[in-house]
Amino acid sequence: MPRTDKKAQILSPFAAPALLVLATLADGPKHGYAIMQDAEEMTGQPLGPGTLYAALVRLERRGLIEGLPVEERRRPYRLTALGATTLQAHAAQMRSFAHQTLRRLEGGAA
Amino acid sequence: MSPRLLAGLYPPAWRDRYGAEFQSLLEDHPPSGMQLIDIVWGALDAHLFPQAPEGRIGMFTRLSGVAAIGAGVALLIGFLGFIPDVNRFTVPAFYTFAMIGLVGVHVCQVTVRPGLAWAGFVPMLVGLTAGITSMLLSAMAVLPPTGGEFGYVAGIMLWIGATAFGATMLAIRAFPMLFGLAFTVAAPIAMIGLFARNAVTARDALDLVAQLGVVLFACAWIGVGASLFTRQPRQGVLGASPT
Repeated sequence: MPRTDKKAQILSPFAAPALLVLATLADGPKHGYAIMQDAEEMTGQPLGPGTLYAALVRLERRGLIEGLPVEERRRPYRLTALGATTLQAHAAQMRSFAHQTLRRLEGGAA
Repeated sequence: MSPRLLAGLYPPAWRDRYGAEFQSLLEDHPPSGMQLIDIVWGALDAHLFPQAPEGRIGMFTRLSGVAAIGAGVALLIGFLGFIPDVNRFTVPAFYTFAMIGLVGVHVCQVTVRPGLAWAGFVPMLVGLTAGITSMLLSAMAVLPPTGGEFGYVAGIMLWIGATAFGATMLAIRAFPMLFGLAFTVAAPIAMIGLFARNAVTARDALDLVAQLGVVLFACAWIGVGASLFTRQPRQGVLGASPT
């Protein structure tokens, strides 16, 4: 995703780091740095290590992700079944929101 | 800044679980200036909202609980007069403990219902600040020992703030209902008792009312403080649960 105007970024639904982390894990397990890279690729915005771990801790605590055994000092994380369901539900809500918003904008512009 | 030092900013319980991998991440990819700020912010978040396993209570929450209990105990000791002439110690102690306890309680609540939590927090904070100001001005002999009219207004603000705070706690259900109810009921009772006794002749009866209100208010502080030791702050991760 290309970088957008700074003022518009405050409205980004991807501003919620926890949701963003869940989304990066949708296609398989990743360790911390891979999540940061993927998040930046998806949103155009860097995800700092402090924010990343604040989100990882909360998600793991609530059973939405789980840590896998450490590989070369890095711990990969993956979605749990609950995490996948939650992400799917949020993505569906966002799709519905985006669809309705675009339709209204198109209707208003006409 | 070394990764070890940065990881050291986080609470011990956090480091036990995430410290090694976090440190490894920082060693492999040294953080930039903005990322350093992000790490400090993350460490502050970990201290304020400890995501420790069930049964482990964070230091900040524990401190707030002790302070809230201290506020109640100071109020009880001072108001009930167990020890003569201790008000000059217990009143400042109450204000100080209550302020710390209130901030801690608020931090726990604000994650549950931010709007309402702020609405309950601000009037009480204003009341406590006015009380502390009145006390300091009296100590500097700018105001009379009782605080004069400023002290009177500060007292009213404190009690109104406490009522709003209690009502908010009930609405948020962040703490056991009993303590929210105690705040909501005790504050107006104490206020009516304390202020009305100056205006009427039936002082003995109103003294009893005031004492009842203040004792209940003190117990509410102790109860809220104790409840911080038994409950973890509730926090949303993704906002409203998906349906």
